[in-house]
Amino acid sequence: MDAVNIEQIDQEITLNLQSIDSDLSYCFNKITKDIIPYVTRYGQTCEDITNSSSWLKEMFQQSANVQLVTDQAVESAGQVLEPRTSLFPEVENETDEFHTVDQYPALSQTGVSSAGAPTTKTGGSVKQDQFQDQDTDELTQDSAMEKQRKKRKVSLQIHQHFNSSSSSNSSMENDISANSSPIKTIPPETETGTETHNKIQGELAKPGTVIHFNSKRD
Amino acid sequence: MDNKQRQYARLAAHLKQLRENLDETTAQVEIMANQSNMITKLGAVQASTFIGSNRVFEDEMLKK
Amino acid sequence: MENPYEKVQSNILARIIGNVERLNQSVVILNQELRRVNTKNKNLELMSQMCENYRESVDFQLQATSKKQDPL
Repeated sequence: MDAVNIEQIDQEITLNLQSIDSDLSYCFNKITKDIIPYVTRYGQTCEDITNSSSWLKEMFQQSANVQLVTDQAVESAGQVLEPRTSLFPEVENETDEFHTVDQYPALSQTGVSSAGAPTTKTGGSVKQDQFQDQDTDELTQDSAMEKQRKKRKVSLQIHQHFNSSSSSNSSMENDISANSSPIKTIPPETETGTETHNKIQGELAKPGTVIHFNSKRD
Repeated sequence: MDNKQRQYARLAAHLKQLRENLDETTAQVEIMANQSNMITKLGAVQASTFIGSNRVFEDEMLKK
Repeated sequence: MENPYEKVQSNILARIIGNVERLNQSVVILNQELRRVNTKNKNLELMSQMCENYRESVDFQLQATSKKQDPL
């Protein structure tokens, strides 16, 4: 009786071991033949997405005047000054042409063309203030809201600066918003300027509260 | 007997390592799921931006 | 009588150990791949977070200025 029982138990043990073995080999085949190719394909797809959305990254970096550091950990945020001063007025000039040609044909051309130069100057002065702010707080991963706030601040600083520097007509405010809004309208894409632009005019006319916030900084 | 004990010891060590690796894998897969959700949101936002911009341009063209 | 089963079991055990070792290696490779992909996708995650925040702020501003139009 005991011998028979032991034999049965041994058979069961061997069967269990064989099933464990086959399960392990099944897992191995599954991982090596199914999962890893999918993961590599996913990696390639994400590489494509990264490549095709690099313009978005550039755009956010330039609009927030910050260098993202996740790519290489060695890059510091202090290298930002050179490209930004060169790139900032280009954006404004492009959008100035765009708005004068397409969006605001009714506005006075002289106002817009004269508005183009001062905003770049005030943009330069604002950029220094902005950069001091940027130096104090490092960019961390969850500072996207900070960036949003800073973008808004830059546009409002230009707005305020421009109002204070040049005695402006009532029609100039439209031009100001037309010139300062590209900072905000650019990020979705350069071509959507018209849609967001119309809406952001109201956005810029409104925020007296954030100008208050701005005067705190200064 | 000695051989069997050695085999079981090796098996235990390997299974421990395998478990650690699988924990790491689960963590990475969770990160990947979050990221793919984020990327889906990004794609939705970009697509809606494109659709809206297309619409706006059509309106602009029809106005002119 | 126990000897043949013992032999077979030890053989199967050896195979199991070998399989676990292979499985470990492949899981290590999988982990490396996943880590590579995830570190690459950190940027994309940041992009999408910024896009989402931008969209939310635009949404809020449009609602605040009551210029939000109906969807198409």
